[in-house]
Amino acid sequence: MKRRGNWRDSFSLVELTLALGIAAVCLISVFGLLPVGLKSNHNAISQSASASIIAAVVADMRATPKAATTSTQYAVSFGTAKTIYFDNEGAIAASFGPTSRYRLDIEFPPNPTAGAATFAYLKVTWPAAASHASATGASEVFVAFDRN
Amino acid sequence: MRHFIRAFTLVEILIAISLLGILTLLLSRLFNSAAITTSMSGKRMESEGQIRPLLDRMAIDFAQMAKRADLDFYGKGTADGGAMTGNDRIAFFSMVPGDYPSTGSESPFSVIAYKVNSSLAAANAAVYTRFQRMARGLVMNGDSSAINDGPIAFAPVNISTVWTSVTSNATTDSKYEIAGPQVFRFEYYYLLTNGTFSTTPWDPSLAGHASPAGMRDVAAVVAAMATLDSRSRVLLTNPQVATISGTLIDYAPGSGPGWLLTQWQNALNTPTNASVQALPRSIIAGIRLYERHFYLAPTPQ
Repeated sequence: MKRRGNWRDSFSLVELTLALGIAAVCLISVFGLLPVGLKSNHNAISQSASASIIAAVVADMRATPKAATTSTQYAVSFGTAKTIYFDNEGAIAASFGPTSRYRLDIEFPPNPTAGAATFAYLKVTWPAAASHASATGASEVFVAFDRN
Repeated sequence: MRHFIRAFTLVEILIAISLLGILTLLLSRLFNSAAITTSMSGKRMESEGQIRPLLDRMAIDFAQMAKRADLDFYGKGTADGGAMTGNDRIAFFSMVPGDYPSTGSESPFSVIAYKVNSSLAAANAAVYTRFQRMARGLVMNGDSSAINDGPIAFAPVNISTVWTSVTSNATTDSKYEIAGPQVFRFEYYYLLTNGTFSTTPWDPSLAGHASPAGMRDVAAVVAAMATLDSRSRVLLTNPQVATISGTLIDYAPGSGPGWLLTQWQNALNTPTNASVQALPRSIIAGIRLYERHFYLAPTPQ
């Protein structure tokens, strides 16, 4: 009888499996948070970067002298829609490349009033390869320039 | 004997422990790379978050610049400003609120000045190699005993003769405040209304144009800045930051936008200076470069 009591003290296979199962569920829920955190971090960076891209392009367009039709820094021609690709560091490319991360589309909605403001519509979307409809994030701004 | 068979053997436990060890190792590597990614993006967010309000502030200062032929402009290329090697300085009158004296009738004008301090005095260690802004509010009824507080100085009085601290990076003035603690390199040039880039704030090809004259020929001031996030910054001494700053070259007249940042990025990627080469790559990688056009409101003709 005493011997029987001895082996009862060790864990059974069922107990061990249950313990492992509980541990696995805990671990999975903890590791499940990791990609969520990274994703929100990534999204925050994209939002912040898109804001600075828009600010830089608008500043460049606003600084374009009246005599010139094309902005100096990003070569935006007033009245001509343009797409520019930006990489992580803010470097630009005219076409999609392996380092492209943001896509900026500039459109010039017509302003029928003669001699009035020049309108521009800027939209940054990411990832750069995605179309507007399938982009995971976007920020946009509508600006008016005095080009008279 | 049955109860012995049911218990784990030493070999089984060893295998289980080693499997657990391998799994833990893999997971810790995963966590490690996640931590590196988040810390790098944290640095980047910090740089972006701090430079944005500064650039916005500067955009307002420049857009509100008081542009009149009888109001002085101190900067690169002017008679008193000169060529400016290393970090640049700039000073002008602007219609923005400033730090007004406690008495007097406040005018809407302030003297705005920027520089990266280069004072080596021990007392100035907190501002050395940091970007400073002065917004000195001017009063309507300033007297000669306190001319620094106004009134606005009309030609032929220059900004540099009244507010002498604007002429040197090494001079400290309590009216200068740290505007960009991360910015350690500041360089600018002018976009003229004829569409060319210059280190002279007027268009010499036009007859009779030989002074800023209310910045009539300048469409925008293009500023380039280099920033270092605070977590990388604490790992460097001020002289080390000054050394990095020294390897970032001056703007060469005639170069277009982007040229300066390309030169700076190349200088950081393949440093020629031995003491910069010795710095950890992670610190150099934390340096971020910005270039921004600051539009000046057109001069009324």
